[in-house]
Amino acid sequence: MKVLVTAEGDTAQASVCGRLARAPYFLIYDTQTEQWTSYANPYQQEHGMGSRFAQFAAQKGVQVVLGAAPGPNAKAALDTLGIKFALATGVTAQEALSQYLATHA
Amino acid sequence: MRSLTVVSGKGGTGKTLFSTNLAWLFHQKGVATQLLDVDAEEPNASLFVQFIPIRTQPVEKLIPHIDESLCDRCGLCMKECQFSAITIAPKKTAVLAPLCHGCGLCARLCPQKAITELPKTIGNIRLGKTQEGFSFGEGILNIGEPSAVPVIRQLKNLAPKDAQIRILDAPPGASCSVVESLSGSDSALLVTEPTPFGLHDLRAAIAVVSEMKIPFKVVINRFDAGSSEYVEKIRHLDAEVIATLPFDRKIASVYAEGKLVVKELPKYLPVFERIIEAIGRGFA
Repeated sequence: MKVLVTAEGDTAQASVCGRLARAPYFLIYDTQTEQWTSYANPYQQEHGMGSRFAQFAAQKGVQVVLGAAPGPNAKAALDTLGIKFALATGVTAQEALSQYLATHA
Repeated sequence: MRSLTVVSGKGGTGKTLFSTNLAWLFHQKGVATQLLDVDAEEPNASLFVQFIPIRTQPVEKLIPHIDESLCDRCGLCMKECQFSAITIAPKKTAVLAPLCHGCGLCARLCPQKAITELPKTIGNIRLGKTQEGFSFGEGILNIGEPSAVPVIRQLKNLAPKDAQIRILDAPPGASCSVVESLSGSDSALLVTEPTPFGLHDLRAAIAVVSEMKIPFKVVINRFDAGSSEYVEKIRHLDAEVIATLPFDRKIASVYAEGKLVVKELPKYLPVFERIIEAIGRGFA
């Protein structure tokens, strides 16, 4: 399973970003390889960031997104793509992942 | 027909005050006048005139509809949509209507011809005249719709072209809807106030009209309400200030009652006369 956490920095110790699709980094954890991969947010546009973000996650094979609450566009796109979402705030990416895996794995 | 768009940048500086009073005064002078309220997100000019609507016309935007039985999930539409309005998944598709600009690119690109464009009503325009006898029109954007641009465009297109002067009461700001309001105008009247926000947003408005190469003049409303420092700063911009209206409780009171300053407070007539003269001298 791949879990994407939207973060302020490019490591698992970075805080979860207060904004979902506009976070500077997308960190993806693969439960099979137990590795994190970091991506700088490749999108810079005024509108439609939510759906671009969901499309990015789908393209990377992500099943779960952790981060700040999605807006209506991001939510619609995540739902369409069958990607689960769980709220994570005020913690590091690693803590968000651990909490999620502890309660959902 | 010559057209004058009244813009401001900052909201609440007096666009509607100047638009409605100028329209009435032009009409009084025997000029065939038209007033269009293109602030479709919250049109309010009709509060100051006795509007008699004659024609209402819905404004539609074309939204893609994807035929799931024809779509082979190639994702071309999703990739090419500049506004990320389409999401294609293996088993589902989603068109996010609020993001769609109705450009039609997806329908044209689709190799499977799976996309048809269906109209969606996003607002209405109302055309008619005022009891006073001049032509009037307004755009009304439906609540929840993100862009007033198609409503403004259609209002400008459908309104009669037989007036001598068309005055457009624009939305606040300096973004797409303001650009659409100004587009094709012969001139612009920039309404500002001597406050930090007034100055800041006046600069933004000047940048827009300059970029669009539209001649413009500035009027300062609530002239003595802010600080003289800002009056000086406004006067030092590369813009001609043609009139000022003082801060007067009586003006606020007349406005709050939905009445016109030029009718109720004749002592301010010269201010509006001065603007009309400037327009007559050829900036509109």
